Amino acid sequence: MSRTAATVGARPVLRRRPSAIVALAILWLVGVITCGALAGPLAAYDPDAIDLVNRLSPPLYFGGDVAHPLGTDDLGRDLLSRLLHGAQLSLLIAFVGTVTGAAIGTALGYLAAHRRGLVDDAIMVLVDLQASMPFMIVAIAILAFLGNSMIVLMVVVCIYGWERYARLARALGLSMTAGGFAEAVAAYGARPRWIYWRHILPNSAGVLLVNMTLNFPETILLESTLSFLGLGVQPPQASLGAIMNYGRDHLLNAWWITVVPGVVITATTLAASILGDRLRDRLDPTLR
Amino acid sequence: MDTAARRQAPEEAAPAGNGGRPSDSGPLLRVAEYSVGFDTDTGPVTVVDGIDLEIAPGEVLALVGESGSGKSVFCRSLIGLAGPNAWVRGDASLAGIDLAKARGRVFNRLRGRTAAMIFQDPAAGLDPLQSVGAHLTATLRRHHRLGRRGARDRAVDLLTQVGLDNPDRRLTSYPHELSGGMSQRVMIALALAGDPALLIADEPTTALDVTLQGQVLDLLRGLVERRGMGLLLVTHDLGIVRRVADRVAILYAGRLAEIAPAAALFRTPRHRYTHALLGSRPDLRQPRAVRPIPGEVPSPWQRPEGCAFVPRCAWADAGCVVERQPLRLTGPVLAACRHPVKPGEVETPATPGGTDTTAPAARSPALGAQPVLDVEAARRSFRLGRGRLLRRAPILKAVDGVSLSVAPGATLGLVGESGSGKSTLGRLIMGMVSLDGGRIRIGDRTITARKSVDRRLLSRRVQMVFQNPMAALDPRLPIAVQVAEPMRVHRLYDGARRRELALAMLRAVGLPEAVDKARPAELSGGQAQRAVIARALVLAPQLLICDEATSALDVSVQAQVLDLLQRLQRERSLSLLFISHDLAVVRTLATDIAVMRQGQIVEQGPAAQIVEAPRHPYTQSLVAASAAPPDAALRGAA
Amino acid sequence: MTYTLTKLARAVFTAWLAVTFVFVMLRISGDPALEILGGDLPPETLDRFREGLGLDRPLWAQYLGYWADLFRGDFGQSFRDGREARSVVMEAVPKTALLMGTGFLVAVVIGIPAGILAALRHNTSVDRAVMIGASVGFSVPNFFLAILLILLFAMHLRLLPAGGSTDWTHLVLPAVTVGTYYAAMLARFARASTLDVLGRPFLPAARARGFGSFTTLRRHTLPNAALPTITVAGLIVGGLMSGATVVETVFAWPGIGRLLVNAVSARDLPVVQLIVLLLALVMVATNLIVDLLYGVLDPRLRRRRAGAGS
Repeated sequence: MSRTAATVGARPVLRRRPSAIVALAILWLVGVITCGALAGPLAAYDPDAIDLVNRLSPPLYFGGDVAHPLGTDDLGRDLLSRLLHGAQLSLLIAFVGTVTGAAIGTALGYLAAHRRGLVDDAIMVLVDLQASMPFMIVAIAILAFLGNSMIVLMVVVCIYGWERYARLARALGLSMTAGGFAEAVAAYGARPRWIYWRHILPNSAGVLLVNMTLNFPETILLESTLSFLGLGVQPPQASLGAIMNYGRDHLLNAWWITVVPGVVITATTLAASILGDRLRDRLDPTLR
Repeated sequence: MDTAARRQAPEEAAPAGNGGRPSDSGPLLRVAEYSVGFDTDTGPVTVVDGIDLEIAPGEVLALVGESGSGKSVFCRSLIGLAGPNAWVRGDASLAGIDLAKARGRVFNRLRGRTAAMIFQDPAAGLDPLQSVGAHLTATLRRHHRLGRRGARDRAVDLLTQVGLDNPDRRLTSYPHELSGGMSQRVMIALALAGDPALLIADEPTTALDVTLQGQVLDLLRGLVERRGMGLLLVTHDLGIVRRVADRVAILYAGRLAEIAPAAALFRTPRHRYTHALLGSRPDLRQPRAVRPIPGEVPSPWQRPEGCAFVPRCAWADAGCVVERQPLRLTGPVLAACRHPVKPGEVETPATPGGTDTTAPAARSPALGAQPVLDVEAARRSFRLGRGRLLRRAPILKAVDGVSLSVAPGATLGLVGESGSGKSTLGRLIMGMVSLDGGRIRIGDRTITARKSVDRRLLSRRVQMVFQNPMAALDPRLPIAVQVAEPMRVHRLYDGARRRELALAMLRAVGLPEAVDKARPAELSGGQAQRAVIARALVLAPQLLICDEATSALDVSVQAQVLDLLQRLQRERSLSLLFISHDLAVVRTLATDIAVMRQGQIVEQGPAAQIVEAPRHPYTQSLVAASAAPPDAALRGAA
Repeated sequence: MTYTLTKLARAVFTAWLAVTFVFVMLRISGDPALEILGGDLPPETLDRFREGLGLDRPLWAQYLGYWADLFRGDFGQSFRDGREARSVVMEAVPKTALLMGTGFLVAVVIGIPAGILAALRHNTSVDRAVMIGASVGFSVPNFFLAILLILLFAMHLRLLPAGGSTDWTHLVLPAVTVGTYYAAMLARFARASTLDVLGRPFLPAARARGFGSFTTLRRHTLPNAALPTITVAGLIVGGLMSGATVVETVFAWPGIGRLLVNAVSARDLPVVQLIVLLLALVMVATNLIVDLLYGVLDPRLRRRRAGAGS
């Protein structure tokens, strides 16, 4: 075997630079998350401080002044400060919702893949059920019957999307087990917990992460839609959707109260889905 | 066409120096200095590199090459289907049409009529939404002026020609209702629909079971003779070449190594690669240790300047390195080699890595020793699919009362076609699947239907090597870590010692040092399989189960792995259960052979006896299908 | 047959789960007596009210009674104006059906051709333009899009009305708003499934038999790509219903979406309950139709025909 050549790296691997659009998306997301996290120190005003002298001041370049760069609402509250706090709340809800949904879904998906049989069937019936119902209606129904409170809203946001992780995790678990390396690992005596933690989870991480990036903007949309309809975050707290709901009554004389948070939501969801698509192209082995 | 005249043509037609091409009519296909390549993101790459060959009407030319030789790209390029990034250089003419200048419309007109093609995976080549009849009538009406009825009648006729029974009813079948063999027959019928002058068959039997392979090849041969068309048969399998080809072209790393009449090629291969390839092939008739070719086929990105075989050739000298060798007339054969094999040369001088071991039979274990593995009346069934409402799912008896045993240091070969239950048996022994009945004893551990054994304990005694080495390795972890992991799982030694043992094991399976930090994707298939073997042996099991362990590998690499297994077995007094569909491969390793079919062992005995005097009709058909015909029956033998 | 039966059983099971879900939600949502009458009344009055609603009976009896009510078509009275919940909701159904139908049309007419085109021109500027458009359409929240359209077409240009439902001009903005998201989704899906089919070996096989690229596209690529696209139809119908809640609210379109939002805000549970059940039923029916359609169109799911087996 002296001549066995190491053909390590026989095929040149191509690395593409991230395009400008992806860079922009990342920049925006980092910016929004930083601003949301530092909303308290960054905001120049108390978001709820009423200042009737400066009410309905338009944003800069639309006739407003530097004191309120994004203008004020009909109670004279500084829109930029409200926006920062609103973004903080929206992002927080979306983060917690996405992560919890991912954790629940992944755990149930692995459980289904590992146990098979009846457990698998039961979990998959739940998955199909949730996938077949428009979640917005289910969410509205739950909020209607149980009343709006932050806790109910959080529960609703957390259940959102778990079924997709469950499907993915189950499929990944099965593919790595049946004729895959997880079976080979089991063959040398590793226990299920070792196999799932050390081999299957790290190898599913890419796919799950992609799904999280794609699920995150949808969670933002769910929360802001509910809040926009007045069914989500309740005053005095205000998420981006809630601010827009408030501004709807002033569309004629203060469009900025609605449009500015709308732009922030759109840009954030757009940036997250661009990043998610990009990550999927790179990380998802099923697409190669 | 007078087939008798054509078949004896090669030896007489030699004077023109065309490698024994029959010259009674002009060539159907002629390519000269023909290259195909792709523009990739990392720059252009040449896959087929300046080849010259011809096919006459009514002739079967086999184009043989290992993976990466460019054989598939070559035949796709002939009908303009090599892909949007492909480019072609050199001369090519097909039935008078100049392919070099051909564009889309020319190809559209010639496809199906002048040249038709069948593909490796027949089931994937059919549109799942359309019936066999819809496929056939549409194709027939594309090439002939036919009405609905006329097309239907022709379709039935074609299906009869390709040997499908009940052709009328078959027309209404959908692709998913066909078996692999049936699908390939339908694909052949589709290819014949336009009465092509040349049929290009790309690995037509690779996806089929051995006994079916023979039938499909015979069918192809018969069609060539009846219709007088040319057949370009592309394959990696020298065995099937023997059966049907008039002439054989050996392709290595995109270049032609040798073109010869089939008989001459098998009798006296001239090119060193051809010679080594034949030597690395397990042969049922002449059981001997295979002689592996060291190294691997270079990828299109790193082909050597001179002769592409130089890095793997024991005869290579400076001249071979510098200069590309043209095809030269060597006897009745065209070969591109500076050091052609001389007629009468018996053996290669000790091929590096080639270990001419004693015949397997000589290593028969001591009689009366306690067997390492003892399977008694093992049974296991599966439900096929889910039970539907009101109906229970049918039950498959995958393993149906199997008894066998493996003595210490012995190798039991388990042969069977797909669906025979051989893999399930392997998984039963590994404790991956539970038993329905019977008893399996491995060393001092026993598995029964009621008592499943602790897999941790079992895994110290028996380990497994899988068919697809890439899938069996965690794509994320470095090789050395993976080889060390079984020891970690079993809490053996400390980290440093584990690593040391893992590296030693990697050396023992012949992997270069550099590999320990590599991820599986950076290894070749052969290297990955060595790593899997290393991981399986690191716990020092008594029994190693190899489940189709070499089926996914090229012939020359397969020989390396077989050679390695033999060596490891000798050094470590290991017992092997070698599961394979390939009787010839099993024969090279096994002391005993068990033949499995539909969940049962139909015949079992010493390897030589099974191969030379098979008693069960199924074994006989298997032997007949696997064995190359004797030299006298070779195509083209004068 | 078995395929149809399985799917039918599944539909019935889903419907049963939806009804049970609503029943459970209703029961844990609080005491309807307090909810409707308020806590100021004497306890006897409340008890009498509870008796009238059957709330004094055991839970299983209430559950059976609930089913009986459903079959009788008795969904109670709207808390808000005391009318039959059924007539309140049924009035709004045609409006929503009109809006969803138009939105669906917008989505299909724009989304599917765009997606197929992008796949056929994979990695070209056409592909990128469609994908960028789809990403944007995917990311703009429909309530924001609605407001932008109102600001532009109703307030700035004064071309179209901002709300109401009297003639077709009122339909344009809401339909475009509901349709945009699903046009984007269909474009992405049609592109993905076409690309998937384009990678399958039966296409080069058909080309090798002499079929031109257009024939192959029409005979093989499109039918195979269309098949999985049907499954999204269920998703879209559900999504259009979700979208209707928002769009109808913004455009003051008197459909069940707006009715639902208003009923939730007023905690008008009989109306909420009926709308949720109705929408669940529509979803169950849609999914059933999709499944059955799939079963008819995909020979792999069709029952083996006589003579096809062996």
